Amino acid sequence: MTELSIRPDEIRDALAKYVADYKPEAAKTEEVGTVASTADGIARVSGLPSAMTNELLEFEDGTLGLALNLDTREIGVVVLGDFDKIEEGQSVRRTGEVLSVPVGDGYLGRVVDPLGNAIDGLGDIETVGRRALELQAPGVMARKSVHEPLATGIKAIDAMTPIGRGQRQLIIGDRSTGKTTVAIDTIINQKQNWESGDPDKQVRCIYVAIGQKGSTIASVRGALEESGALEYTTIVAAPASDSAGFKYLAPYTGSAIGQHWMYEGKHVLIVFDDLTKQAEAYRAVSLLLRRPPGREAYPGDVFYLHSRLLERCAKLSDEMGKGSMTGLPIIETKANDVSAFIPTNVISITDGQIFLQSDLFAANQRPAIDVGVSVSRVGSAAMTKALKGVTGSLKVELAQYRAMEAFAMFASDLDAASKQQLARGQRLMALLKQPAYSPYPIDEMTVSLWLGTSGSLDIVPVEDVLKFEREFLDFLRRSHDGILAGIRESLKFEDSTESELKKAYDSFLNQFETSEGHSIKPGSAKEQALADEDVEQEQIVKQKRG
Amino acid sequence: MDFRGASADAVAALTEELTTAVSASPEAAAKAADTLFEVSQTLRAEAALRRFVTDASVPQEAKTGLVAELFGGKVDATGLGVFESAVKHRWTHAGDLSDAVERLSEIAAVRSAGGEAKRLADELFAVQQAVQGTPALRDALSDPARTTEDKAGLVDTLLGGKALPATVTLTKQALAGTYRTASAALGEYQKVAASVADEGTAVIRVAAPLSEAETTRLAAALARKYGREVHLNVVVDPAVVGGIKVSIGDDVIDGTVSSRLEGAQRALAG
Repeated sequence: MTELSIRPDEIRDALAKYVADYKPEAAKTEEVGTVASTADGIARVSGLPSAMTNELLEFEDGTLGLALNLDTREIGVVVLGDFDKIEEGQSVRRTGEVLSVPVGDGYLGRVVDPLGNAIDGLGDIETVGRRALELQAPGVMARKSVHEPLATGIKAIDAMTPIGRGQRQLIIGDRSTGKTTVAIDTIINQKQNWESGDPDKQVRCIYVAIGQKGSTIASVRGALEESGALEYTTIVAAPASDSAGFKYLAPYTGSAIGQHWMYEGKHVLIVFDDLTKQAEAYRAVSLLLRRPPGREAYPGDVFYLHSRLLERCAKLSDEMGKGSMTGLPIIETKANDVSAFIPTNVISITDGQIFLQSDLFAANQRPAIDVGVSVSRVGSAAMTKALKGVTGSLKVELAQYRAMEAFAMFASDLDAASKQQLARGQRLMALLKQPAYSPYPIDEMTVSLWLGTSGSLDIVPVEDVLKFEREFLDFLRRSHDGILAGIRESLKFEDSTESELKKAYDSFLNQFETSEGHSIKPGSAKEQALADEDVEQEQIVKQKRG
Repeated sequence: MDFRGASADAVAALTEELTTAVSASPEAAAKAADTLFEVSQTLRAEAALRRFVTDASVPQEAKTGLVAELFGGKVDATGLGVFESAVKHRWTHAGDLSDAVERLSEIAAVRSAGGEAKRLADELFAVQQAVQGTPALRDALSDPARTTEDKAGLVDTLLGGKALPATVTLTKQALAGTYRTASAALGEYQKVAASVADEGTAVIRVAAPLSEAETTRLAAALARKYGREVHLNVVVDPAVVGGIKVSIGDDVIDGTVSSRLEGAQRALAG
């Protein structure tokens, strides 16, 4: 085996041939404009009479710009990139391309910028074509109603506000309430679907990071990589250090990449984290372009900014390939105010919201989902039959519990029915707690929720609910795996499944110990007899007066 | 200067009228140019006058009467005649009238060159290159501390006797500030000269001067491509190394060796 050796003169000859082979094109005519003024990421270009709206223009140093304002004699251009090298008087060329990105399967597992260039240092991305960013959403006839579930793996969501493929579900809450975590859990939960290899089950995921800190994007990537979810996820990153033009475009890039897959009949999940920052970037760009400001200084078309983005998430009809794109936009509120401008806009666009409360988060109820306000307008059509069987009374019981909660401190003064409602509600709330990055597969979630709604947890102390659930699932996995397998395969919850579960539950009660070491099986409480000297007997003493 | 709607129609009609009035005699054109320029500066300075003569509700006799009273006997008759017709038209903005009158004075100045239109265009280009290329000259012409008369004196010193009177007139007009900078004004005047001659203008960058035959061939080729005669302004720039770069209107045709070298460098850099 000889080593490959390349001599210097071979390199020289090869380079000489390379240079000699260079055939410059004949002089071609180009339309050239000049920069009339430039400041703050906006350049005004005069000339270029045939520039199109949203066309990409190229400056002398290679930076691209987006022609947004076509005035009588000038073009208002948003610079996509560093603008410190652009000077007045420089020439500007048209690229002839209306804003578009390359698309294809090569994006899976990669981190890209809003123009489709890879930024993870793993080489160029193979693409199969380009897709314009401003294409219309599918029309009415191209759509079908949402009927397939998209499992998030989070008990609180899948049980009460289930999400379907093709739905837009808004995740809304204050800062640091776990919004990104909910989205990442959903992405991680698609791993089993991906490994099944079935194109009807597989969901490709796109995570669009808008204005996030670089460290946050890196930690998200790390979390996805650790759980093996990165192989079917694309990250479109426009970190906080990027110019406003990139932050404005990033969601549309992610949407274009996803739409390409959707029209090929595949399922896509796209997370926009978060749209508040995109609205702010768009506001910055519009104010610099001197467009008239409206409410809260946002331009007049900020609703259209979000509506045209979110309308592209849809479930396509059978003729169009049955593909779907599910959208999880994230909006950050200030002081839990959902009646501010942008939150109300996006709430009216999406098919439901998951509201994360900072109070619940602080009280250690995580995920901090406010069950009363959260809603899913698709509802039971997107729920698997297995879950439908076990979650029938869940919402009602929780609603009754919330109404009763104020009386919790007077628990001893209530009647038995109210006490029972309180107890059930507390255990259900404890059951809905879940650690981050640990989504539940459908079979375990069904069993867990059955425990709650069937009253099987009523004898378990509240602080041991999660311990009980964990150990019960462990017990099932070890000795009664048939039950779990049955739910997994059939995706239904039959009466036979229920009776088998009851039997397993009874036998598990024998071995369960609370954190204090007691058994909770009824009839197992042992009383200790008092020592003789501790037994007190009242004595009646007669006193004589006299 | 952007004329839209009624103003655009008015400017078109007045240009025709001016052309018929002065095309026979370059001297008449020169006098008309001076008159119209003075009138335009007066209109810019006096807002009340400007508003009155562009007011559509005032009867025409009142407007023309005022104009005749103000300017009659002090200015040239041809120019005054054109201004009186201007006042009879409708204008979309009051400012459009002063812009239009100045535009007419530019056209008249170009026409005053008579048969030397080509030389006028060349000279305007040369002056523009001189102003752009010499920062000291550029600053002197835009110095806010000196009066316009002083600056006009500088122009006379520079160009007197060497250039056409039309060039001198236009360069002095460039100092008025309508187009912000003198070189921008000179660029606009070149466009006006080109449109009067019904030609396009092209700036040619070459490494060495072109021969007669080459120039004719280039002009013919460009005329074929753009459908009308093209006036060539040739700049000799050694940095180009070889080949030709033609900037005509919004288009650039780049066949220079320097740009091909740049392209090769970019290709090697990968």
